[in-house]
Amino acid sequence: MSHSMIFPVVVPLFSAFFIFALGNKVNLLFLLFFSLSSLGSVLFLLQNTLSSGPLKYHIAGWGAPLGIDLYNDGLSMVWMVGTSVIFFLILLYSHSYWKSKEYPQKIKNAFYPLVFALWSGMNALFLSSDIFNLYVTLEVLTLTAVPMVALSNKKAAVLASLRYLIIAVTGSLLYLLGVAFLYVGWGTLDISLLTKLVTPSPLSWGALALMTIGLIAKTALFPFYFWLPPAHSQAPSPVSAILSALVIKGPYYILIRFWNTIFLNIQNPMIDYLLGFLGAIAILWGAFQALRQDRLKLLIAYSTVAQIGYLFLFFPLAINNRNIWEIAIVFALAHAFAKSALFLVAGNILCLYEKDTISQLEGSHPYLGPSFFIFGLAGLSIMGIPFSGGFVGKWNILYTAITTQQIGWILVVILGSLLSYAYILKIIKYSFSQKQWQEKKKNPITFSMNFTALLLASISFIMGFFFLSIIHLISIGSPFGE
Amino acid sequence: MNPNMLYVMAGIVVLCIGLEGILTSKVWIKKILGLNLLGTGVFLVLIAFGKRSGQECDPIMQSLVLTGIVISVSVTALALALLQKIVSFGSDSKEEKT
Repeated sequence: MSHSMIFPVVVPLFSAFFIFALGNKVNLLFLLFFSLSSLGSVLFLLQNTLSSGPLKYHIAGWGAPLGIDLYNDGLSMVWMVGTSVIFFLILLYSHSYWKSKEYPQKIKNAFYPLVFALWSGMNALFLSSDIFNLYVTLEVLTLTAVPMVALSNKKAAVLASLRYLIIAVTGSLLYLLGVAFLYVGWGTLDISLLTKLVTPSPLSWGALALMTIGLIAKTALFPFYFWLPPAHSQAPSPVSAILSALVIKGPYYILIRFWNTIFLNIQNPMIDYLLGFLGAIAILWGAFQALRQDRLKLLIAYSTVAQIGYLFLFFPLAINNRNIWEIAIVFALAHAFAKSALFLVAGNILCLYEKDTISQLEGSHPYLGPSFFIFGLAGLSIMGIPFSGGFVGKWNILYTAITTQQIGWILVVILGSLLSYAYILKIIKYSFSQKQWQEKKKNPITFSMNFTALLLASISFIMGFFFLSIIHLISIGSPFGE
Repeated sequence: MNPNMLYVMAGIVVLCIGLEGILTSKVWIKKILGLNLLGTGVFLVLIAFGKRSGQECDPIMQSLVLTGIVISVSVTALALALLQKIVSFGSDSKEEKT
């Protein structure tokens, strides 16, 4: 039953409309209903994919080139399930967070429809099978993520969101120009057709360059990272979690997808090495900057800059070894779960004392015990301690770097990991301090806030134990060749 | 040189001017205008690519540009709304520290 493919897009989209219409009347019951049905639609598709393999769907019966096609294989399925679980848990968290921090009703009314629209956009991005639809979904991501940054209603936040908007839209337009190049060259927008047709020529190289630049600007790879720390740290914490964990992974997914389809025949190892090199700088620079921050959310945001660097190390490693992409996805998902947990812990701390200055955490552990524990658990995956999800990624980077004789990356990974130990332990050390706390307690941290963050952190950790089944799921429809 | 190439060239010039505005301007409104120019340039290139010599105009390109324009309008609206919000905060920097 291939109609199941349309639900992951339609159900969250309609939920967004309904929640917008409900306005002030939205309560936990409504939220649970809408988020569970959105999650359910994805799980329903998962069940169909598991039983009948990769699916292709022509919306309203119109096939390519006139209609819009959806395509679903293991690669899109894994991303969709991962993002949907994270969306679901963050939505639960945000309900308690807004309540505990006594946010104005107006913000809640704006937040929920935006999250559901973003959810729908992410699912559409993973399911799209033509390059123009991907442009549309990228813009859906931008237009829903940017207003969420501005929800903090502070000048710095609105400035950060405007900067984010301009970079993101510039990136999308460069991507669109790449779409034009591919279309004029080969007369189709369908990814699977383009894969067969695209040949090395100035047009395809132009498209490769424009799309890559546009997409890495949106993924915030060094040197296009500068919009990320202000935007991700100024946003309200549940929003930061969504942005850092999920939104930047959308363009990264497109890059992986194109690298294994359209651009497969026109690849040049130089581009892969360049991306890996930028990733290496991002790892060191991001981790070094994270260590220097005195605000917790900025520290976590710079840690994202560093972790994006690891995602791009997979490009040079995958040159003759396309199976490593499966590990890249495990690593990206482990980062998504761990990073959302870290930002939710930052939310807990902001809830408790309205500020997130790191040095003022001295002596706060009697109130923040569970939060510190969650931070540490998620930190294990960020640091890459065995047997967490992050460890699987780093171990395979090291292993492949040795077997393919690209020894240079090993030094980067080791240095980056040492720096990440430093910035995670910089926070954890406050859970052992003996001093009395100087700050006043403001708002309570409820059970559900700790529980959802703990779930996210545990998933990122135990991913190291079941990554083989994730890889098995990715291989449905063999997106990375046989 | 066929006249279509002229449109493509013009589009590339317009989008480069837009890109230059986004990257170098220090004024927000100029960056937003640059974004619009970049969009217009890309759309012009798309339309010009759609008409190949001796053929009818390609309807797919036109529909793509139509979608693109709708997105571009909403992006501009959002950018202007954000800019208005920034202006309404005034220029005092106390707000930014909290």
